[in-house]
Amino acid sequence: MGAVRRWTVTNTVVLVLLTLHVLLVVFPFIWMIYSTFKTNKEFMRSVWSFPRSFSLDAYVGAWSGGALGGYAVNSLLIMAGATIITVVVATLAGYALAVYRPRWMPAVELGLTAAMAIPAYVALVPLVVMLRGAGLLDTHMGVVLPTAAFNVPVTIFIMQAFFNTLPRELFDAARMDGASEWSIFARVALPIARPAMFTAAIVNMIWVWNDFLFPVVFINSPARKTLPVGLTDFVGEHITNYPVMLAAILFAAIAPLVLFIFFERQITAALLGGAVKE
Amino acid sequence: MGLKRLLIAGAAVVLTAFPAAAGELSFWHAYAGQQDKVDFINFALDEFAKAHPDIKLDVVAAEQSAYKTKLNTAMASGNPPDVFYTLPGGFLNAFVNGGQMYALDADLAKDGWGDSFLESALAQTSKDGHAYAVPVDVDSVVFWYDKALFAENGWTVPSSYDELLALAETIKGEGIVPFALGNKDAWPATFWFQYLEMRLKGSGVVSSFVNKDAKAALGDEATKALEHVAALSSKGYFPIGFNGMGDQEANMLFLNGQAAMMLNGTWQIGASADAPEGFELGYFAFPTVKDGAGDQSDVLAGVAATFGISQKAENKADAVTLLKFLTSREVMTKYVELRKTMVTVKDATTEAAAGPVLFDISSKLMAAAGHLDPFYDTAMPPAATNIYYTSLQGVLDGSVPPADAAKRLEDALRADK
Amino acid sequence: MSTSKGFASSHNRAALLFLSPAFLLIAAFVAYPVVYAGWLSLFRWDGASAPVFQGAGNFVRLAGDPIFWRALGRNLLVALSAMVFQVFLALCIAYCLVRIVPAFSRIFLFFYLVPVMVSEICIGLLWRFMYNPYFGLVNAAFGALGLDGLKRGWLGESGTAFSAVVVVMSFTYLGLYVLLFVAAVRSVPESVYEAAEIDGAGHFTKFFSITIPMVGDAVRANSLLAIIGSLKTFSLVFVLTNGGPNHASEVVSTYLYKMGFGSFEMGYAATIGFTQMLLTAIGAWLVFRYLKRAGVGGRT
Repeated sequence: MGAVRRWTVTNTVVLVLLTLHVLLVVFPFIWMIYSTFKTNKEFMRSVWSFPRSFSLDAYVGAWSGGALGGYAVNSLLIMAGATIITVVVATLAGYALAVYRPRWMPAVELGLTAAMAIPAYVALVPLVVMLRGAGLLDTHMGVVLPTAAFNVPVTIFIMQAFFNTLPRELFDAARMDGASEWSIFARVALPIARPAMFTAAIVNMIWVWNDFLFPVVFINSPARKTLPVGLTDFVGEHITNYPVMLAAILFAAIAPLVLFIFFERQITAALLGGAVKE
Repeated sequence: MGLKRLLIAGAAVVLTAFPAAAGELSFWHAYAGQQDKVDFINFALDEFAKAHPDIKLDVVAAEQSAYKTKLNTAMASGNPPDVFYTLPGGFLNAFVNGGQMYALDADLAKDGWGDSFLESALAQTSKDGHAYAVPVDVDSVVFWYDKALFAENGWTVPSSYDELLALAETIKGEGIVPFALGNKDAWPATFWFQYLEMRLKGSGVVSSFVNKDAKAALGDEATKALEHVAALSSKGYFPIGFNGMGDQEANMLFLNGQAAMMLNGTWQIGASADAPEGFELGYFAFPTVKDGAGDQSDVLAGVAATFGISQKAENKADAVTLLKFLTSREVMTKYVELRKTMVTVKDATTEAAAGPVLFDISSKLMAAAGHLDPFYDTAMPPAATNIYYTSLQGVLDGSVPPADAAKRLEDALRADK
Repeated sequence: MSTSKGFASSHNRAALLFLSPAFLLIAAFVAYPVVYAGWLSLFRWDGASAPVFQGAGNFVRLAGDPIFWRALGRNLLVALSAMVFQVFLALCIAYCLVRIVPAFSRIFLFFYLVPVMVSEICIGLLWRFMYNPYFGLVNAAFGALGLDGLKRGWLGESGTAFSAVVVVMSFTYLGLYVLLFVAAVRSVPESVYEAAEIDGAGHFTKFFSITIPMVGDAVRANSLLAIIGSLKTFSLVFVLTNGGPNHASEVVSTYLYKMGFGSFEMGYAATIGFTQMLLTAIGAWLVFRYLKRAGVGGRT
């Protein structure tokens, strides 16, 4: 990036402020980690204290209390399916809206805005009727398709915002060369759209990973449950074993974090690739 | 007969292309999320599989609040499970009114199945003289306290409401919260109102509305009861910010001696299992209220959960077999043992299974009660329950005058078609 | 518009082709439920019996339902606070990370993303403990600062419950916008800043006169995410206060949920949902038309 600059007071102040802020933001996570080493008795006694002795019971309880590994696989499958469908579909649509600017675009935009605004709870009953009719109830696909459909409108707008930034000369030049509309999209637009698609994919992955409502209603079989739904295996009506529940939640959160650490370089690189303006 | 039924069921499956195979019974329940619940259902279903290997179950479990969303959606989309767990009262009645529930009268009449239940419990799953579900467990509400804390401070258990208030004042003077209350989900405070209404006016007030009794009324007593509740709050006898605290947070205050008493259901026994050393759980009855018109021995106790069969179930005989098995004395005794909760099946709440505190409540307090009045919030129609909850929260924080709240509740109870 | 008329029809065809997968998916899984909700909003239905036709009855009831309008007002406040404490703050943070302390940007970015990954059940649970009037850290912090007068039952008092929930939302969702803005801020060419520095511009000037105009599209996209998210917000309110006490922190989705799945008023719940959708669509439409005209959207 930029040239090396002198370290100033401003830098120090900003660093201190950011550190304090980030501590506040990640405190839940720190608390969650050390709380999992407590027994429920210790937890009930004092919510914030550090564990007196490191007990691994919570992890044993969480691992045996639900099929967390299997839930994670289901979550990954649904996340991958919904994200891929959403991003592909939204990239095509976002490109069309940004580049062709059809005269009926305002109507499409209005429709998409309305589609974004529909509360999922209202859609539950009709969706269940439909999915059952299609034989998709209690299947992964039965969660993937409605989830993708609900996330497509917002993702279209993300992609459209990106394609809006591209200089139109880029496409006009290719058009002069006689390229077909499809090959302009595939050879000119798609390669430079990768960072934006990546961003859209990350946003979608986060949404789908944490989504609760569709999986809980559309999935019945224990073998096809997702992680957020599986987490309710640890939430009691009157009695909750908090350390066990937190250990389970930790497991659910760690999977995406590990993925993020693992792909951090690629993600940063892909996001940086967005520097097309230079 | 069996074969014929199987053929009909099979044909129906093929015709409607439902995913369930012939002979498969779908069974939905909410025994999830809590170890004792899971232990119970695992036991019951394992035993059922051994006793009836021919009946294949397609079991779906979900935690209480997720369960309600799932069941309501399934019901509204026209495909309820064959056998399912549901709350009694307003919740069940909504399904009954919609013609969704199979009446169990004929089955209950056979082999003394109906007689195995406590009559008061079966009444809570019946409508217009027909039973639409079988009751499972009973929760009863009493005052809980830490015997050690009371002994240490020389406090004694109150027998009248005035004594209770005097004790609360003393406790507050010691810097301890008199009554733990976590009213975020609004049901915990209903026990206070209902007990006061029961003491002042008598039992069966909400039931008479539900049964379309022409003389049904909350009476001026409701306003008075709400005034009492508001006074408890304004005198600072409840924790600060109780309307935003969960039941389990209130329980932490109680178990750690930051609050002295708690008006709560018998699940408190299980919830006190992880109490710190030295904590000794005791209970006492809701005290008598001077000049109250109600029977002062009445106890707030009601059916907590029921199992019913869908009218659309194809194989009702197997469904009944499942219910009979689940409510058999052996399974129910195990229920008491694992969950420390009373059950509706006669003689199943044994001393050995229940433990001393629960057995004492069941055999003394409840046996001596003039009436057992079921939970108002479960008994009334769901729409009224919502109004009941929010206006009570409002009375407690002073934003709704007691008389207005009483009127709102009465209107909601009358609005039920 | 640089295209000549000859291109118009072929462009229309291409646009339709590119849009068709999205159309199909949305028509099947979103449009049908919307139509269904619109139809159901004309009935009284408990989800178990036969629906009873009401005509516009539900809409009349909704128009006179103060709980709904107050809930909708709260949704707007959530959106406003999201614009300031999520979108704008995230942009400031992104600028700091990229331009002021780039050496630490990766580690900070990682930490900001943590709450986004943690389930809302856990965030809610933690904050319930934070706000607990007896053992919570919020009151403890005020006590330590000698501000005992500020201690209160944050989630349980009608005056503070809603604000307390909004604070949690700001902390929870911030990281997503930081991530999205970091990418956008990094894409601003270094040369532009260098030119400004020659003119003696400080960070403040550079942020407002270079960064914000240059990342206009990201601002637009993120604002859209934040506003739509705010209008549909459900989980944190549900876990923290359940809309209480006495509707003091109710938002439209929690009210809809209570009506449909708590009170068994599926028809009225559909009316709420349908109306919310219409109002949101109209609102978002107006906002983005305005943003476009104001030029934040870049090159329209």
